[in-house]
Amino acid sequence: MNILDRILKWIPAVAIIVLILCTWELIVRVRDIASWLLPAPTAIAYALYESRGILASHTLVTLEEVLIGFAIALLAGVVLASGLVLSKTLEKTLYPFLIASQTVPIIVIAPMLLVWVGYGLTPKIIVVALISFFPIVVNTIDGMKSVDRDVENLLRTMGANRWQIFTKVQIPVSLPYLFSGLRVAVAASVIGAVIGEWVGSSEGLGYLMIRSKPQFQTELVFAAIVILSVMGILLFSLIGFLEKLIIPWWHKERENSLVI
Amino acid sequence: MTGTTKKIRVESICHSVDQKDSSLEVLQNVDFFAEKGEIVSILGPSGCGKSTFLNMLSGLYDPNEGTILVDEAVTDAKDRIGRIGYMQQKDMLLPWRTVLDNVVIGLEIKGVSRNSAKSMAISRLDEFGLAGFENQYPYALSGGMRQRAAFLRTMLMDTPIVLLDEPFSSLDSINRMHLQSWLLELLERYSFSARDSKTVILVTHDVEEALFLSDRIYVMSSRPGKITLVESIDFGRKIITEMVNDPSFVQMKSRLTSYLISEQVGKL
Repeated sequence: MNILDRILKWIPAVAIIVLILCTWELIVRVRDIASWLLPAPTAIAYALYESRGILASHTLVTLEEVLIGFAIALLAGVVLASGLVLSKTLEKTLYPFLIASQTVPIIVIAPMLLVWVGYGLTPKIIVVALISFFPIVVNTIDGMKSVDRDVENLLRTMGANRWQIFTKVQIPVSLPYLFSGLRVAVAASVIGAVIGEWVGSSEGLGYLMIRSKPQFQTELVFAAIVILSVMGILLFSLIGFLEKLIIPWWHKERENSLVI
Repeated sequence: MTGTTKKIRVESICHSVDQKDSSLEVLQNVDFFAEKGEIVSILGPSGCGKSTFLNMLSGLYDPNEGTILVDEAVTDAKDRIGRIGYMQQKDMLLPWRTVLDNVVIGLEIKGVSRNSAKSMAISRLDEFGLAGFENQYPYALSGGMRQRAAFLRTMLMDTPIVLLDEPFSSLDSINRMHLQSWLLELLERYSFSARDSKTVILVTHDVEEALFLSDRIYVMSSRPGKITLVESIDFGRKIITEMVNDPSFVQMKSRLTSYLISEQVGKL
């Protein structure tokens, strides 16, 4: 695919966004809607520019919560998945709790975390980690279990022990699944950070939204939403980029099987 | 032939697998042997228990009854693990490994250092028609090359016994014939040295393939799998394009084919 094709591919999506923004702007102006009720896109853009300093500092806080929480979820998720796959006893003991944990609404836990671990970054990081943990664990377990029985048997006839089968086959096989999980998790992790900040905080984009609303600075609320969306999209793309870098064979294999 | 020691010998093995509420008899009273350096085929229809038989020989599990002897010593499954090479119909190359990394996986498992495993593999790439492809990923290879890579992976293990489970059945007929001739040449080269001489057990449903490659053929019938016929083969020099026109080859092929068909019809 050449550069022109790449650009052309995006035209429909960009056109729709432009259309929506123009309609929005038009309605706000024609009907003279108050900016504390619904700011026009231009007003939001201006707020983004005017308050860039304060937005940037709050963005960094939220980003920090997302990245640390996500990293913890990734590490804990992969370790737990490995444990569950390697040990039947561990699987029987922990898997039901793992599934049950997902039914506990994290928004309900967030205020309690505040009580338990205090007011700083920690409770937000915990919310992010809790939210992103589940898709990572479940996908990694599925991946590790998706190993072709015949491949496992082949390695066994070569004399491979349990650990060798795990490291030489189960881990590589699980990587594409892990990345699918990471994609779901990264989008959820941004939401997690904002929820954590809403419940109680003194910094971060979620805090900024909560603070700006009663002050009728609605354009700042929207500016924060824009930044959060962009953050989500960029993190999502970063995962895709890392996936292509780390498991290039996966895409080639798929492309190839599509051609055939 | 009867006086020599057998490389591998199977004595009256029976095997059943449990199903929902009954048990299915897969193998019934199978006797089998292969001498050192022999190529022995097991010929039979799909689902006759041939693969179960090879899985047992390779050491994945033991039969319910009967014994498997290697070098005339009784073995159980764990004794055979790692001593018998096993190549299956699917190449099972790992898509995240290059050709070179794929073929050395057996050596890796055996604990050979990565560097010496790789140099062992590199020295044999040419012989297996893979020179220049060592750094390619499996998706870039043709079906024939993938099978040759899988075969190199098996041969690098350097086991005295090699099991081949329909190794060429996924290939088109031209490629298949080509690889069959190539395999014979390769094994012939081994057979000059007593140490390297391989005992090959080939499972196939292709009568021509069995006749072309083997010194002896066991015919296995299905449900339950049992050996119904043993044939010794000797057509002298083996060149596949010449062999297919040899009257004795043609005769034996039609005899075995009609035998297999009558066996199958009897089951229906």
